Order: sequence, then structure tokens, then C-alpha cells
Amino acid sequence: MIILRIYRRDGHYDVHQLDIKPETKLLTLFEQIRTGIDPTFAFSSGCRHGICGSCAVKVNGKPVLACKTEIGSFRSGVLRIEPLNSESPKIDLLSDFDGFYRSFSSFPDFLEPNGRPTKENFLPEATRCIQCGICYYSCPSVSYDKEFSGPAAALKQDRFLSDPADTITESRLEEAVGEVYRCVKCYRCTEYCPRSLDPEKAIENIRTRCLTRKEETIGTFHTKALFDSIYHYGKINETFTARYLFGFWGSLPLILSGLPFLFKRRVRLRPVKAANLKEIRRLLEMEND
Amino acid sequence: MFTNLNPISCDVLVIGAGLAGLSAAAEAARAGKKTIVVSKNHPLKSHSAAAAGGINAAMTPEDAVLHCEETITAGCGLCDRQAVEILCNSAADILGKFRKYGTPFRLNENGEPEGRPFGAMSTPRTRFVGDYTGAALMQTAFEQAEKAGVRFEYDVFLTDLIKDGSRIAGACGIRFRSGTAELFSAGAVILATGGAGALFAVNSNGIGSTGDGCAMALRAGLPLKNWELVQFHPTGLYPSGLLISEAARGEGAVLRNKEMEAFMPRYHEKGDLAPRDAVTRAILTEIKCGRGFGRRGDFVLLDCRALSPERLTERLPEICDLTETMLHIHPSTHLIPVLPTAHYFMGGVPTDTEGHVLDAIGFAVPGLFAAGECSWTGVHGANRVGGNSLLEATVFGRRAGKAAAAETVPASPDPNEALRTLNGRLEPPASASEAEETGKIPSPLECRRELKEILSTSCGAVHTTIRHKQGATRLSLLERRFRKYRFRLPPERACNTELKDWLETDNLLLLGAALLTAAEERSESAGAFYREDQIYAGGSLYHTLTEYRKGRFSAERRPL
Repeated sequence: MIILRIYRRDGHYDVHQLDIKPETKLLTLFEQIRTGIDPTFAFSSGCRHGICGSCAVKVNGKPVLACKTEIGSFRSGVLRIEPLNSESPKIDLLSDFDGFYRSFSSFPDFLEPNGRPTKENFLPEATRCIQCGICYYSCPSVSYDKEFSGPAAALKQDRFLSDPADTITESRLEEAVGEVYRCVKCYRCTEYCPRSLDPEKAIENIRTRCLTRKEETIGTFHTKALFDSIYHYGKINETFTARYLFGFWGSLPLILSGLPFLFKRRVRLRPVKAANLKEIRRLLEMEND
Repeated sequence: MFTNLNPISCDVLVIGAGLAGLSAAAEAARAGKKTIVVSKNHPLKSHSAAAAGGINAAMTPEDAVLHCEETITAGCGLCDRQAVEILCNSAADILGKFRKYGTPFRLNENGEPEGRPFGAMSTPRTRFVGDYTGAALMQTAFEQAEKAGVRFEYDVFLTDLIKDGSRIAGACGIRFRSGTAELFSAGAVILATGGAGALFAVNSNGIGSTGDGCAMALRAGLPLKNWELVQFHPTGLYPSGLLISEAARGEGAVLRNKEMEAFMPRYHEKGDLAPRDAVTRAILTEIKCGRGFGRRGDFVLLDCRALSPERLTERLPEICDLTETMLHIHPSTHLIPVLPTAHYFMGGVPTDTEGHVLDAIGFAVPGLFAAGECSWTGVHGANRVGGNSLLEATVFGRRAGKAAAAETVPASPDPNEALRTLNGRLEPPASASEAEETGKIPSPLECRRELKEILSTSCGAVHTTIRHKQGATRLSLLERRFRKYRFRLPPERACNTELKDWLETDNLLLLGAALLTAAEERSESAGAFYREDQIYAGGSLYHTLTEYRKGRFSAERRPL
């Protein structure tokens, strides 16, 4: 016996008590409801086998594709089913995906080819992305940072950046620098992706690329400051990173907020080096190679 | 009822955003025309993205000639040679364009796209991206269409073509999100709405493949050509019919019956890579002879165990994914249960090689073009070769886009007429008020389910006149009940699924009746169309033309 609580248009939840095989797919159930119980029940679906990405919904808060999810795959016997994008106006299980689709227009969403197609196999992960919006609407950074274009866009961007046939890498990176450091690395996108893709890895790749640029930005600078701090002291040294980031004069105002820390002995004036600094350096050098 | 229409005007209106629609739109926009693509889903959710196996492309002129001959042979004499030649000769160019703009085809050691053997082909010329070629092509096509400046209007369901005099001057419909009526007026309209796989209970198509464009054309008084020629793909996943790509057999999988016999060599010299109609009939014969699997003996097995697990995950990841999610089996260890599934409509709105839609007499309809599965270009004949559909969509999509851009004429359809047409669709017929029958009135989806059941039994892979007659009777009874349906929500309501389902089912009923009429007209087997009760085999070759006028269907034969 499974109890479904489905979000409906005026904000209430329809409760259906169903005696149904646990291996039934959620989408089959939705279709049964629309066919036999309520023809006005709105949800979207397409290919029925997880290749179009139309049927993403939230089940007990977890975003899934309805066509690939079995009812019995949840620990709880009560399933609360809601639309994916909880912030837009919602009608039954439909919500507004415009924000997601727009996120791809934050960069040139096409290859600017050099006319010489590659001679080697190049199969970017982004080709398997079905643009279901699950990563975008489960990303905490997206929900409070409207300037972040989200994980799916980053995956696509990484695809163009790593394509040897692309010619506008530099301007793509210039755009990307302002984007990728908005990710907070919670790995939700990678965890929830119904295609087992890794947007987080793509963001990591773009960040690595950003470090190779000559021009420095707050993001790359921060990475470098932390790296150097660990290289010199074996640990993160706040005094050092502050001076690195803001310069001597720039970090003077920080001293005021730093003073209480000093009195409570949370910060030391003389930086302490880690005991096994040599090994740490070796590790870092290995990583750099 | 709707009281006003929201007018939007453009030069070229493309209805449908699959591969054909996007190719056409990009071409029209590149020619400097203001182009709008209207689709009922987001373009990347179109069913072209589910095309798996690959796209046929001959890289050398000699191979192109061979490709052409093999397509015509597989088409059982119903192909249009000129169209097939255009198709096969443009393939290398199209493939080069897709490669240039970033479709990551699998390459061989020379850096050229690798070919995979496919049914009815003597050389491996199906170029592929894993087994999600359609999705990869769609991404590139969508990127290029956006770059060309195409405007996309998705979640809009268009219901009828609107005329300005004799010219097609646009289309009207409903914007799903807001529930408002829209009128798109255009200098040229391109239909690219795909097939009507949703007519069958077991089909490989998406839920949205309801043949809306073909229904629009029928309602506008235009004919459908060879509409009864429906391809049944031999390997649909049991029981839903979801597609197991022909690529599996191309890579070396074999079909087995109950005795674990690889039965295909008994039926065709090409074995498991015979043309699709031959494989489908072989499977049906095996099942009929009691050599099928299961309690009811209604499926056979596809054996992929000859392929190494690495090769499977590298080249057929979607099939592995599909069987794992649906049946919890992996093709490297288990055999996949398969059965024939409705897959592709070879027929459709008749067009010439430039994409102009032709009327019953054979004249081009001014202002109307068509491309892709919804059109009949003559390249598939009576049996489509796997891998030719993506090619057709891109080649003829581009040609239609080019022709439409060259022939736009400023048009001003009458909004009042459009409003009348739209409201006329939703109005219940006068007789509906009389409660003569008290039977339960089915919901639109219940209706659709019954329709699927009727057509699967009466007009499936095997045809007989008796079944057609029975089907037609049941269909007319169903339609009468369907017309009595009363909407629970007003049509202006935002996200009105009920209305959308009803309109789609309305289209399907029309197309189902057309299918039965056309199937009855074809009295001999041809390719995918197989008649058990034919009088002579290998009879004369002809096309059928189905029309819908004043509520009546008529079908007639046309010489090749």
C-alpha cells in the first residue's frame, strides 16, 4: 500500500491510496491518474525512457525523473510529489523552466569552429545531458545567486572549452571566470543527475583552466593565495592570505576585526609552520606535475 | 470559448521543433527571414532526440550510388528515385556540416566518422554518436538555429492552418502556459510535426507523437499520401515497445526464439540485418508458430552476449541504461525480451523535392511546406532503411527551409476566421446535447487508450479487410462517445492539460480513421504493409492518397 500526496494547482495536496506493484514507474502512475481519475491533472512527459528529460519532479524533496523512478524505491510509504522548480508559479506538477533554459544563453552556446574537424575521438559528457533541469533546480547557489548560470550550463561550457575545434576559448574563459567561483561545491548536481553525469567535475575543469589565464580575478587569486599559504606554512594562514588578497594597505582595515581574535589567541602574530612541511610541499609539487 | 487572438507575425513559421524543423528554421533564418519555430514542447524534448542508431552517410560517390540502390531495393519499388538520389548525394555534405559545428561522431583511425552496419545495407555507412545520435544531432541543430537568430515559441499547441485566399498564411492555436489563443501569420509555413506513433498501443514513439501537422493538413483539405505504410520496428522492449536500436544488431546482437535458435538466417540472406519489414514479419511468424517466449509466447529475445561489456557500455550505453531501468537486467548477461513496435510513418503530407506540399491533383499549395516524418518525400518507399530518417530530416528540412525563405509573400490572415476555426474545434456538435446514449463518456486519455487498442488489432503489422471493417465500426462508435466529452475546466485556463489531451486525441481519431481508409484501399502487400488476405502477391505498384472532405474520408490510388 502506497500513499501519494500530489501537489495540485491551488496549493493543496491530492491524496491517493494505491495498491500497486512497487516496480511501477511513477510516470505510469501519473498517466493512470490522468486517464482514469482526473483528466485535469497536469504533468509533462515525453519519451517515456529518460532521454528527453521532460518529467522531472520532486519526490519527498528529492528530484527524480518520473519515467525512470520506481514507486518502491523510496524508504517511506508516503510519497510527497511536487513540481521541480518550487519558486516559480506552479500548476500541478508543472513549473516554469524558463530560468533554466535561459541559463544556457549566458555564454555563446555554440561551437565557433576553426573549420578543421578533429581527427581524434572527442566525446564530451555534455552530449549525454538531457537538460531535465534537475541539477539547476537542486543547486543551492542558483537559488540565491541569480547571476550563477548553474551546473548544466557549466557542463555545456566545459564541453566547448575542451573541444579542440573551438576558436573562442579566451573569451569563453573570460565569461566563465565570473561564473564558476559561484559554485559552493555541495555536489548535489552530480548526486542527483539522472544520467550520472558530473557537472561538478566540469566546474572543477573550468576553474583549472581559469588558473592558466594571465589576467587574475578574485577567484583565481583566492585559489593562488590558499595554495601559496599552504606551500609556505603547510596550513592556511589568515594573515598571509589577507595580505596576499588585499595587499598591505588593503588589509589594514581587517586588522581591526582581527584584533579580538588575537586577544583570544585564535590568531598568532608569528605564523606557525606545520611540522611535516617538506612532505606537504612534495605532495603539492606532485599534484602540480 | 476564446474571445480574442494574440497576433504574432513572421516571415517563416516552422511548426514542430524536431530535427527537420530546426534544420528548416536555421536555413530560413540564415536567408535573412524572420523565423519562428512553434512547438508544443521545448525543442530539445522533441522526439528526434530519441533516435538512436545513427545517420546514414556515404562518404564516396561510389558508395552514394550503392546507398541509393539499396534504399530503393528496401523500399519495395515505391521510392521516388529523384528524391532518393538527392538524399544519398547530400549525405556527405550534411555530415561534414554537423561535424564542423561540433557533433562528436565516433571516428575511425583515419579521423573519418566510423560506419556501423545497419539493416539492408551492404557497407557499414551509419555514422553514430554512441547510441544517442539523435540527441547529439539535435543539440548541434538547436545551437545553430539559435545562433542563426531563430525565435522559439514553445509550449504552444497549434490546431489549424489558416488560409488567406488560396494561400496558407499561418496557423492558430493555444499557448499552453497562459491559456491564450494565438494567431501566427506567416509568409510561408513549414510543417515538421513528425509522425503519429501514438496511434498504436505498442509504439516506440514519445507521448507527444500525435501527428498534429498531418491532422492540420487533412483538415485544411489536403491529402495524405501512403498513410497506411507504417513501419514496425522489429525490436521494441517488451512490453512497452520502447526502442531497442537496430544498432544492437548492427554491432552483432542476434534474435533468438524459444528454442534459442538464431532464426533470422532462415528467413533472409542478410540474417539479423535484413530490412526491418522482413525482420518484423519473421518475428511475428515465429510468435505465431508458437516459438515465442513468455507465458503467452508473445515475444522473442535479443542476444547481446556476444558483445563484450566494454563494447556495450562504449557503443550502446542507452540500451544498457534502458534495460537496467526498465527490467533490471544487463544486456551482457541477460537476453532482452523484444517485440515489434510501431515506429515510423513512411507516408504523410505529399511534397516535392523542394518541400512544397502538393494537393490531390499534384499542384504545389502556395505558402505550405513540409519536411521530416510528417511528409512524404518518396525516399522511404514502402519500407524505411534504418538511419535514413535522420538524414531525411536534415536534408529535406534544409531544402524546405531554403525554398520557404525564397518564396515568402506578405500575408494577412483574417483573425476572425481564425477565431471561428479555433472555437469551432472546441464546440460540441449540436447532437451532443441530446442524451440519446447514456453510456459512460470516456476521458480524452481513456479514449486514446481505446483508440490505440482498436488500431493495434485492426491495423497493426498484419492487415485484413475484415479487421479494417471491424476497426472502422468501432472507431466511429468511439468517436461519437468522444464528441460528448464535457470539459471540466474552461479552455482559457492556464496549463489546461485536459484541453491539450482532447485536441491531441481529436487529431489521433482523425488520423486513425484516415489510416483505416488508406489501408483498405491498398489491396496488396508492399514492404512494411502486409496483407494476409491479398488476392495476388507482387501486384501492381501504386500510391494511395487519402482525403478528408465534409466529414468523409476517401482514398484513391495514384500511379507511381
